[in-house]
Amino acid sequence: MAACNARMKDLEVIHSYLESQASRCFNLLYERYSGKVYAKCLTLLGDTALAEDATQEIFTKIFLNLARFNEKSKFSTWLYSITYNFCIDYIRRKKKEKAIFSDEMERAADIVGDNIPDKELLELNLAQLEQVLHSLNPGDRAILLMKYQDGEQIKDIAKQFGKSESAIKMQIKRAKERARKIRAKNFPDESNSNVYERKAKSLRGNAR
Amino acid sequence: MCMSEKQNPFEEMQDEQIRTFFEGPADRKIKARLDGTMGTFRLLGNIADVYLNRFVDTMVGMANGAGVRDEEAEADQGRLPTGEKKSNDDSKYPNL
Repeated sequence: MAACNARMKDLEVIHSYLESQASRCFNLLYERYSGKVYAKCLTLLGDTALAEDATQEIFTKIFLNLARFNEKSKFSTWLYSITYNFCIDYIRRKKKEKAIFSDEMERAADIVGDNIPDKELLELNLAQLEQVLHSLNPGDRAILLMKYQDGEQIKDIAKQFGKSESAIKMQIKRAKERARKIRAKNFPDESNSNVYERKAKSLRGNAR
Repeated sequence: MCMSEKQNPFEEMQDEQIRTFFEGPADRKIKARLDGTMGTFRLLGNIADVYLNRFVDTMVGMANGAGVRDEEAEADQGRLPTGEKKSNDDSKYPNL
């Protein structure tokens, strides 16, 4: 197989690496994904030094276990799931926190429907989003990143965490509620202005 | 320049973090440490490749060698090695 180059897809790079053990191939995977892995670690762990250590350890794990990648999912999905699990395990060990997810998670099965629009989260600016994420449990943070950053389906997130789909939906709903509260509390002017804007828009719509 | 699709704040946050990562020292630091770790693992792998075979050969050799030494010890004590036929008494006393 040809030596690895930047135009090759992830799977080609992996096959080439497994055949040749060429460090250039592994470096290519590192260059493609190190930034994203670091960003996720930073959001979940909330500390740059911890995020650096975690990124290094995650890539060491990948280096040692790449032959076990079974290609059932995309490489990025596999890599991110290792990243989320690593960070959550780290927090669990460090804080001896058993409740990485909110308590409501296990009782969520009967709750249906998410009547809070995604806008509650997607309209936040960066500073607001960071505050919202900071106020959530690490598990909930990971779920939101998976859904809104990685674009994963609810069923895939549920499978990854071994939870039911309704539990994951519930968690997202809670996060949106929290986002709304934090925004109203910390940025009252902005949240009010958005309410006024929305009302104005709906009025304009009705007038037409 | 074409307008890119508007990003949601999660993607914006990620892009900002990635930009900081590559602009700051973190990327180079992690890369250097990772190269060191990978180098160590490769070295250990090579050592295992080379010396594990030799170690196994040595162990097998020692196991066989032990058998040889037993035979030599028996011969030293006046007994004959097991593989060799006992010589005829006639040859010892040809004149009888």
